Amino acid sequence: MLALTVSIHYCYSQSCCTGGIPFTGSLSVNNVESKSLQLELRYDLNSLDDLIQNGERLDNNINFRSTHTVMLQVSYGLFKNFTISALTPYVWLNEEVTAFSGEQRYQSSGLGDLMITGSYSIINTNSTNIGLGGGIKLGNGKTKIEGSDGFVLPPTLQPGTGSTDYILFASFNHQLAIRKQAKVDGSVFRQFNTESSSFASFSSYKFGNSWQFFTTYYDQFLIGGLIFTPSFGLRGRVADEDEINSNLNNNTGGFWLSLTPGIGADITKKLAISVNENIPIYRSLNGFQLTTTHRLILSLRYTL
Amino acid sequence: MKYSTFILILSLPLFFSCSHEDETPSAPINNVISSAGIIEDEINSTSVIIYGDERRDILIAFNRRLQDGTLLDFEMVISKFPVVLVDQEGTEWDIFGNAISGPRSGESLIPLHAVKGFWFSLSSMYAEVTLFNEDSKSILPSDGEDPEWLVNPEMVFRSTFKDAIRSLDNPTFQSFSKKDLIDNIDLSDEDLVILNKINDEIYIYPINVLNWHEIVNHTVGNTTFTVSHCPLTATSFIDRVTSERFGVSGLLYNNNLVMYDQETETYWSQILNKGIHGELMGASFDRTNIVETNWETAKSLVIEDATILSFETGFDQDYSQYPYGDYRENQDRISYPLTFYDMRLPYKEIVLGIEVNGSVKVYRYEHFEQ
Repeated sequence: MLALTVSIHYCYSQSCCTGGIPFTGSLSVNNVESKSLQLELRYDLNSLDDLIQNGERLDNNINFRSTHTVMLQVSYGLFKNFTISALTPYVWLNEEVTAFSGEQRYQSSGLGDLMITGSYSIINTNSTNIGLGGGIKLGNGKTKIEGSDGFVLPPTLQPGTGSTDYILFASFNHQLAIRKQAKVDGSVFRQFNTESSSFASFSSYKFGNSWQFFTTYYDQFLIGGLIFTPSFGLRGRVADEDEINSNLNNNTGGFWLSLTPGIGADITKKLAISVNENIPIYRSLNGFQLTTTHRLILSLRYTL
Repeated sequence: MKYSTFILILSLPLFFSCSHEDETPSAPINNVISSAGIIEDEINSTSVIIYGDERRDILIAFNRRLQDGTLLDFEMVISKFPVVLVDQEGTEWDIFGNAISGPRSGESLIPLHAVKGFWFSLSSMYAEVTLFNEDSKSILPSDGEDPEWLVNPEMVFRSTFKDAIRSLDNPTFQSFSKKDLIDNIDLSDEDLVILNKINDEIYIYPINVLNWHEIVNHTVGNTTFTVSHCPLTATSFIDRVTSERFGVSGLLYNNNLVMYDQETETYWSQILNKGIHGELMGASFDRTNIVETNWETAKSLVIEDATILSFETGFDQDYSQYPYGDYRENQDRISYPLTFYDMRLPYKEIVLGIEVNGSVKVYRYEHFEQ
């Protein structure tokens, strides 16, 4: 028998995936040299086809979601070892429902939330950099986009969150002594979210606070005059449940662990490109959630 | 559902005690009567009889006046469940409102527009809500006037997309013997089920399945029933409908299910029993008597076989899991704005509201305690 799965009224799970940009997963926290300007243009595709209940992936979901986000991050080395950064996204959100009458598609797009960060390198040597930082995410993104029938679209099709959120992070990178072309880096983010009174149709909605960590191994190879940088890493995220009117939304939050293979290339001394994939390897999610099947990030970085 | 399947179902030897006056099932909770009782009352000049039984999770109501104009006076029957009422003429009536024995055997009581569900779903939905034995009334602010809507569209919210919560359109039913029913059905005693008596056959719809699908489009012979349950207001209804299929619109009005019909795409409020927007705005369903009770009680009604909505729906959710966490118990958890917040009772208390000409009187389980 063909097995299908259905949605429910509060199957959102969008705090890292839709309903606002996946910013901590895409935020670059590299130190930029003093008085240097770095522009980074990123494209983030988040494809959510996996419906999870009690830790198990259900077959033949009838509900598919994808987000396409273009982000511009501008970073400037304000002082030696101190970098400020601003990231602004534009988000296209798509939802497909295999309805009784056939496939129904719903779309929206708009500005997501703007994030401003500052980071300071407490150790900055030729081989090692350790930095600390923090930032604020404004609730300026669109949160009440209406559908063609005049109703405010569900949360999963809103690009912004409507809340002012705060972020702290720590990062390191280290060039390996045994292989000069190799590097490891890592970062930990802690995000504190606040209530939004303007998110979709809710009087009050608060995304769950979260931890995220990344660790990646990079190597470098010279091929045809270009430096290629393959990488392989892990990304983890732990999120509390969201709250609707201060009550827990049980179909949100959990633990996600992904592999993050990627490759980059330095096109010129100032221009670099990279591509990374996120492949989920473990998920322990609360309740019933539609979650990421895979995620692709393309990045173009230019340093002035 | 295919007609051949229905013929098969109808041919199954299903017997419930309510259709056999000489058989009294041994219900394990028959002796517990402290929470059961009846109330005879008047609502807007309509005489009503209400039976409440908290132990069995039953709240049902009927018009005391029969089609022929006779006004019945009832007493409660204690030990012959599902027979729960006896009138002054000696006729015994079951929970479905059917006369099981006595001079009016074969007749039925006239159903009322009765809503069993969370208190907030009634107090936010109707303009005038009175509590039984109390004088206080709530008067809702008048809805905004929009000629295209029967209700204030500003209080209608989209929680998800049309058909993202998928109705069961070709439901499969399984027949079990009493023993197999207990062994094979993954329900606990306190889980709720809806009973739909069609002719002499009773169909059981587990709320655990309806929590995920909200609508079952069920055709029996030439009649199509829409069995609906809104998990956010805990309200269940069975309606005889003319459209072949109703679906979940993804809209909520006062957090209550808004259905649409496939034929005209009219939006229907489940509780109000009205088309609220579209071609059939203002129309009503032919609402039938519904009995919602717990699985323990439903099992006790089975004499030989039972026909139950199959958990093999073609969808692969774990139906034993309630999809909304602590929503039922958390009194403060109401997700979308209500027209009116009435704090006379806890928001999630299960009550029965009877609506007559726009006025609603509400009965609590405690009103039936003896």
